[in-house]
Amino acid sequence: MTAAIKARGLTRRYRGAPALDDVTLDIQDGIITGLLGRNGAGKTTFMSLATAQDRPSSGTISVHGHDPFERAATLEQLCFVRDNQRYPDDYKLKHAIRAASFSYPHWSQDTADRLIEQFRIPAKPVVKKFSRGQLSALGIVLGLASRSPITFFDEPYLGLDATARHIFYDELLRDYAEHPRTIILSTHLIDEMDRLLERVVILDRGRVVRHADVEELRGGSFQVAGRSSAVDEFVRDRPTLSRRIVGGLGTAVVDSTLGDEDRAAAASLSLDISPVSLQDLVAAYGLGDTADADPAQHAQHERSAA
Amino acid sequence: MFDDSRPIFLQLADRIADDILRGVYPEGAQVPSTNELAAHLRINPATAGKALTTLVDREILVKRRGIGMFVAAGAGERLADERRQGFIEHFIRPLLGEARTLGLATSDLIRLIENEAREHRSREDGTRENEAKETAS
Amino acid sequence: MNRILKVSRLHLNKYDNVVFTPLGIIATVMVVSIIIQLAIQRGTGADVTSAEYIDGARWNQGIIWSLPGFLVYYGVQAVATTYPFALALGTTRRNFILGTMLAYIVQAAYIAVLLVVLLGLELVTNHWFMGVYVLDVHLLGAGNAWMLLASAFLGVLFCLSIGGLFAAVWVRFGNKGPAILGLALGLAVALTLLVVAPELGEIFAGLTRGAVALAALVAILVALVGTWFAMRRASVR
Repeated sequence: MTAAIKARGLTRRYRGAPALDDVTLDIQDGIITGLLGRNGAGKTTFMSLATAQDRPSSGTISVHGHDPFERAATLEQLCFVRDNQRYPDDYKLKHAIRAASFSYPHWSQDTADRLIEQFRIPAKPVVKKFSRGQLSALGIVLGLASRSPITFFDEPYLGLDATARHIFYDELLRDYAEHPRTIILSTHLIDEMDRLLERVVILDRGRVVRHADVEELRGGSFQVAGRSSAVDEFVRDRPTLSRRIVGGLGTAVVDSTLGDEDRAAAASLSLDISPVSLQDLVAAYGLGDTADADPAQHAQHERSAA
Repeated sequence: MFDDSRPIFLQLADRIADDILRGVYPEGAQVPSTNELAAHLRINPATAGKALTTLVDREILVKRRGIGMFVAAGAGERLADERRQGFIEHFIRPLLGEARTLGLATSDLIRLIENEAREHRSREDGTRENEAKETAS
Repeated sequence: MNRILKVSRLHLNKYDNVVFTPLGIIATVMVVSIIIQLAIQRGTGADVTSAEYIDGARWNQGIIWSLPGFLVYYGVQAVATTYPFALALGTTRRNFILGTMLAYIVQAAYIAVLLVVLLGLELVTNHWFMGVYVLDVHLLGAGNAWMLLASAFLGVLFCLSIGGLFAAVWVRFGNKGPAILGLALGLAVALTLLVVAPELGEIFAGLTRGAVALAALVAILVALVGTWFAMRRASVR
């Protein structure tokens, strides 16, 4: 596995509070990786550091083996259009596209033209006056048409209606299939987008809590629900990610594959079993209930890539 | 389409196997490519690729370099065998379990099955008769 | 070099601002100058060929004061709003600074040449057929094309660099930056004046064009160096 991006002990502090806290991970080359986690978990910070738009407080980050800071050869291969990207004053669509066409070495004008039409991005108004959805669409056009070897998308769907989002997913898959590259994508719409991802990194409060193949995570945990006493009994010897008690009823997310003994035990305790979507899994991490779990099991969750 | 209980590549492999069993893809026919599946189902190409690779490992599909994936000879038989083995685990065992919960004896269960099979047959005959009458008139 | 040029192109990409706005401003100044000077001619019944009139008309400073506002704005937005986009397009800070300076030079050269061409037109048409003095003015060399070229080039570059410096300080240090810089510069100027106060009269008397040009050049260089240091470690906010 070749790593496109390597972070070692990466930390970024803002006025004392860590946006990223001692992050060590590898982002695999040539695949679509999702960055998941709550707002403020550190997803955008990670992308900023990877593209040298920001500098780490401590630790290192390397892209294709080099520190990206002030390294033109590396930076040219990256594309990071932020969710709140600012464009030069009075720039219109055509200016942004022209600028991108002479800046990104692998730019595909055909792709850009087609996407602009699909997303119906207006040509007349200045970019400053674009709606949230139009700005996102522009960001998507730049990101996809850049064909940059490492492309970042930071919550690219903000303001897009459902139709436009599906256009994005289709175009992303289409372009990725025809021209494979490393894509890093942060999202909250995990239910909609989890099928596009190959690997995910789950961040919480600046730390990596999970880093695995999506397929590994799918079916890698399950949820039990029923009387809270029964739930407590069930999870006593099992690795638990989260537990929610409301009066006499409770639910818990168990971090192991559902086996026959689990089914039997749940049946005997009259507990309902249901699958856990990736969205539920990330939410479970985000609730920070891992403090409840056995500290030894807690360490299991902080796996980094092989 | 796909649920959260199992990896998608396994679910997809099962669906393609199903299609092969039902004759949608006869032996020797070409199945959709990784990219076609990915685009059609809106999933990551790697997932689609893994599903196809799994089927190749089970000797259900065979890869012809540069051309694509094809249904292997004898794939139908192999799948039916797997399904027959799974039939006991996935259908008969739960059936017996439910029968036990309801307090049905095995002999009662067998009688229920025979009754249902007879009724099902006559229903089918009846439908065929109606269809024949309609085409005649 | 290519990468530096990419940044310059990024700035000059918006042709309207670069080419037409200065043109528009100059055209406006000309129209206003014509109206005013014609009014004066009518009102005073002056003889447009008299040395007295010419000398007076040559004090028209419209051109000099109309452009700086726009130029400083242009210099500011070149850094402030283009910098984040330039980074998104994968440039290094070093190349951004060099590319921006190059863009400034191109812009300054364009305006300087434009003004010289207009001066040529003014002289050839005998001051726009109406004895109106817009470019042939004392402060711009009184008809000397080389003086005009040099003054305009340095003047424009000075405005752009100052704008750029303030923007760079803003990008690096946030909203407080430019305020502090302005305060610091103001203090520096005030202190210098205080120190040289006794000799102020002599200094002004001895102020040659060369001295002013040199001072402008120094100021430009200081602004550019300041911009460099401010941007080197700037993050995008």
